[in-house]
Amino acid sequence: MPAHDPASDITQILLRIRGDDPDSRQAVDRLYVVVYAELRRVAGGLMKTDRSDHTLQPTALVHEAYLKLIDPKHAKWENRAHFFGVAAKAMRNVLIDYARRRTSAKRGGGERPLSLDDAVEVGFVVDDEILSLNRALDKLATEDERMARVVELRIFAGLTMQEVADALSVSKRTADSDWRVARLWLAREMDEATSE
Amino acid sequence: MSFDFARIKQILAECLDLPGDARSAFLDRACAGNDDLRAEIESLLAHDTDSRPALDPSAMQGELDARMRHSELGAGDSDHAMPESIGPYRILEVLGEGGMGIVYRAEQTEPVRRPVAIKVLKAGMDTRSILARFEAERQALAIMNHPGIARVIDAGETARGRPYFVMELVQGVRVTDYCVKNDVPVRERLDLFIRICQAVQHAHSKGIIHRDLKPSNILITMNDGKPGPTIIDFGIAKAASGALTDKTLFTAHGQLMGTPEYMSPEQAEMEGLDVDVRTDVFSLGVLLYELLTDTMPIKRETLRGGTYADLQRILREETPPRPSERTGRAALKRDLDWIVMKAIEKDRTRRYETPRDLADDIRRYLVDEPVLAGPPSASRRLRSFVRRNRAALAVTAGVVLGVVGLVLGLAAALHESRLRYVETSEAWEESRAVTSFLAGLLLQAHPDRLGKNATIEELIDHARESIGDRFERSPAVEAQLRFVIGDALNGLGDLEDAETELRRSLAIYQETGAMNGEGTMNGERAMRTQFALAELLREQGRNDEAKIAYEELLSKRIAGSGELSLATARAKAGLAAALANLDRDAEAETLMREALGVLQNEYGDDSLETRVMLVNLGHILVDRNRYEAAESLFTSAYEGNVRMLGSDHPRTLAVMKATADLYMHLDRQDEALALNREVLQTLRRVVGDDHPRTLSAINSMASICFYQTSYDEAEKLWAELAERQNRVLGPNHPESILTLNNLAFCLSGQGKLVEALALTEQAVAAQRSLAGAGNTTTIRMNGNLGDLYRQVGDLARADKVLDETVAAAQSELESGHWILGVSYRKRGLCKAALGQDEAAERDLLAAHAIFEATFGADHSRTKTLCGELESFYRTRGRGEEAARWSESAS
Repeated sequence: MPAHDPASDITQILLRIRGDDPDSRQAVDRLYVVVYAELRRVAGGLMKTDRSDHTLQPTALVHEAYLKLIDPKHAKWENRAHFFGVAAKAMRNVLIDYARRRTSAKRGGGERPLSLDDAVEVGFVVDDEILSLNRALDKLATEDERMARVVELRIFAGLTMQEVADALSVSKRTADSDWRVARLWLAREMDEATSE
Repeated sequence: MSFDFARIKQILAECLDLPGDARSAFLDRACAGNDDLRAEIESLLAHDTDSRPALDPSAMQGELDARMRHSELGAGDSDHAMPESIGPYRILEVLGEGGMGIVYRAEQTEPVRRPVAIKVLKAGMDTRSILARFEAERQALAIMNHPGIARVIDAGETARGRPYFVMELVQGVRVTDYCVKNDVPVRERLDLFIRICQAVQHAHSKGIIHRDLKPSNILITMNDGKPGPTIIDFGIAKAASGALTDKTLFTAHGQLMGTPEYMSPEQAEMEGLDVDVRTDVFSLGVLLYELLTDTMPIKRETLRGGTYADLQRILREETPPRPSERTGRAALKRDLDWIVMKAIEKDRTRRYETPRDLADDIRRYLVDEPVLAGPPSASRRLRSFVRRNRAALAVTAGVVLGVVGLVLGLAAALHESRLRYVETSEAWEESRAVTSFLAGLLLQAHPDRLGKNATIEELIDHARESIGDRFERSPAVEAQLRFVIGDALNGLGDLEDAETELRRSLAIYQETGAMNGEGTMNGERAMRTQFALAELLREQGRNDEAKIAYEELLSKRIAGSGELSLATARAKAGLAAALANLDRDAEAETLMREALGVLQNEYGDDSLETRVMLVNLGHILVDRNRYEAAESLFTSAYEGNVRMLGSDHPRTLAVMKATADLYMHLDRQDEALALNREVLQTLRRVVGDDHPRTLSAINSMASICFYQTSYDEAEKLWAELAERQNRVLGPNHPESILTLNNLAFCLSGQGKLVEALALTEQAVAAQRSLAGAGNTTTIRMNGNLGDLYRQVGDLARADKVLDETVAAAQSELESGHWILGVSYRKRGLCKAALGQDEAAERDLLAAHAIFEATFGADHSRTKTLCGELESFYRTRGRGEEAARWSESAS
């Protein structure tokens, strides 16, 4: 519904996310699509201001999208939690997708030649590392869903530990301990994957 | 991992809180005796997280920043990312882009060269559940096979690992644009629309609901110079069948869900679980509106101006003007208006149930037959009102006009369509005759003529008289008018007059030879009249006559269109129902199965009409004691109805009720009770607590509870029912009175005599003033009252009331009537308590003679009475007689 106030749309979607029924899952997917589009839009808007010195803080971006998308009148903490969970997934997919594309291009499987931008850009984190994290994180989710979500919120949405704890409605102590154990588990998983 | 993850997590977390040198000692304690556990934890501790940038939030945030700065997130990647080819397909251009996927126009090079459309899942969209939905969309499309639905050709994964599927490329224009640009006449627009309905119906029969029908998804292409519609984009389609539900589809297409202009109110409410095929019927209705008026029912600006809550409210509450009001084109009036308005009803239970029903009504309109749709509410309200109050109905002239509108509007539509489509001089004459007839009739309906309180009967009578001989020269019109009037009378519950009119209509058709003209318009009308007459006879329980009427019709149908036509099948089904009522169940079953075969062949198992027939066959099987087979038919009809109509739909509930009755029959009382309970709950939710159907369901439920001796629950239900009926129907309505009586009976069974007495007094007073003292129900209730007086010890009153009761029974009923017996028994018990032994003995013995003759010696009533006689004699020292009765009682 393009001409609609996105805030009220999102609020409607959020109101439907309750449990794990199919309807809720569908609502989460809708939310994902909207959040992803909004993140792109916000980021695109910032880019057009042409401040090359400007660093796009992903965290700030997520927060800005949040303010744009959520009707504050209905902004219960559950909404916030769902929103950040979904935003983290969107960010994660941005990274994964980009890494996949570049690796497939490197191996000659690319569907199009690298543009100059792509070629000169050197990330802080190598692509294989990101893809490896992605796989390990999927595996962790099957062992302990909450731990995987802590990692997603912390790494991809850039939330502080307190924000992570709030979003998952657990104590900060619990979130901390999840985070530390998860990092060890993921590190081992990624090491083993590399050595295989 | 073979360890309990939670335990590892806990030990590890505690361990990490400790300084490095204390960890070993801690692990000694925590993993005492479990070397594997300790090894696992130490292996985890050995891994260095700091050397892994991917596990460092700030590094990853920097990475994201870099990505976004380089257009990954910041710019649209659609053109940018357009590949040259995907698999064997050469990509030509972007056709469209939604939230979830991009659609390309492409060219297949081998084995044949042809244009195709490829839908590829977008970057960033590969979350597990979106992948599942994408796959489900492909599957949904793949199982459909209809010329009006774009086909899936192929599917696969791109080199980057993104799933895609390939569809037939539909190169057409929006149906609305096509119609406007080519100035397509209304009749052709309706033909196109019917074909669109058929395509949607096909999807529904495969269990798929489109949920986003709108002109941009319905394209017209030219085949051999003829236009044909193709439906595309099942992007937010929802699988209606069980198998696909956990993969329910969704594509956002940059929008959250359907498109506001075409969205049904229930879809806007976003109670997604509850959307069924009728949401597509609504969208089709909006499309029809647009095709007829070239405007939207509710203006775009109105819908898109406000917040989402505004949109929901508008869709829920705002009634659009009828198409004729919108355009001022009289040709749209009546039938077409009503068809459109029925399709876009806010309340989906009032909509057409399927696209096929909608298409059928348009077809009826096109061949000048009366349509099913009527003016939205007046007639419906009136019809049920009339049915309830037929005895002495006087309504205000305003309402009467509504009915006349219903009856004669049909004729007016006939007139209009003739004007438009069949402009022959003969038709013109007929039309004028009809018009002047209607005008005269409507003038009579004016309050000044027939008076403000004209009854419906008066008006219809007037209509029938007015026909007179004015149609002498156009018998076909008279026959059609009489059919319409007969049909309306039938709807109003006046079956006798309905029959007269239908028979007159039929006689005219016979005289003019139309009866044998199957396939001609008048021939079809004649058959239809015959069918209506047969149905009417069957409804009245005159099954022998109904059977003859069906048989005549059937032989004509078979001669005209063969054994396997739908018309023949419907006639067979009717005949089967009549035969079943005549207890000729074996023949009924054979015919019903033949009819069913034709329907299944034509429409598949999942059509509404097929299911109705399945249920009818089930009823026949119940009569033939083939309960298992009946149960399985009911079950599959139930499942089909739930899937296609939803669990709240009246037809679904009717099947549930039939199943519950079957269970009662089989003495599976618990299941019967459970089903009845569900039916009742649904009715309460859907039509409200005070609806007549809910009230009747409360009563059934209470009766079952009562038979099951769950007196508590029966009491609660009857008490509720009494309160509601008192309010809705009034305290003097026969059903209200009956409920009071039932409630009292239930209370007295639990020993709550005082309450029971008060209610019975109330019931008797109301019943007597309603039906008089000689009415059998009054007699029975009065007997209950006297018996209650006796039980509470008020013998003087008891005696007086029971004397009255017996006197009334003696004068009103024949001498051996069981109610007379019941009255004797009650008075006898009272006389015994009063010590009037002789009178008591006489009454009790008289009661026994009647009981034994009418119920038989083994009936529980007779046995109870024998026991009472035994104790009467024993307490009076007459042991020998007591012993004899004791024997009869056991």
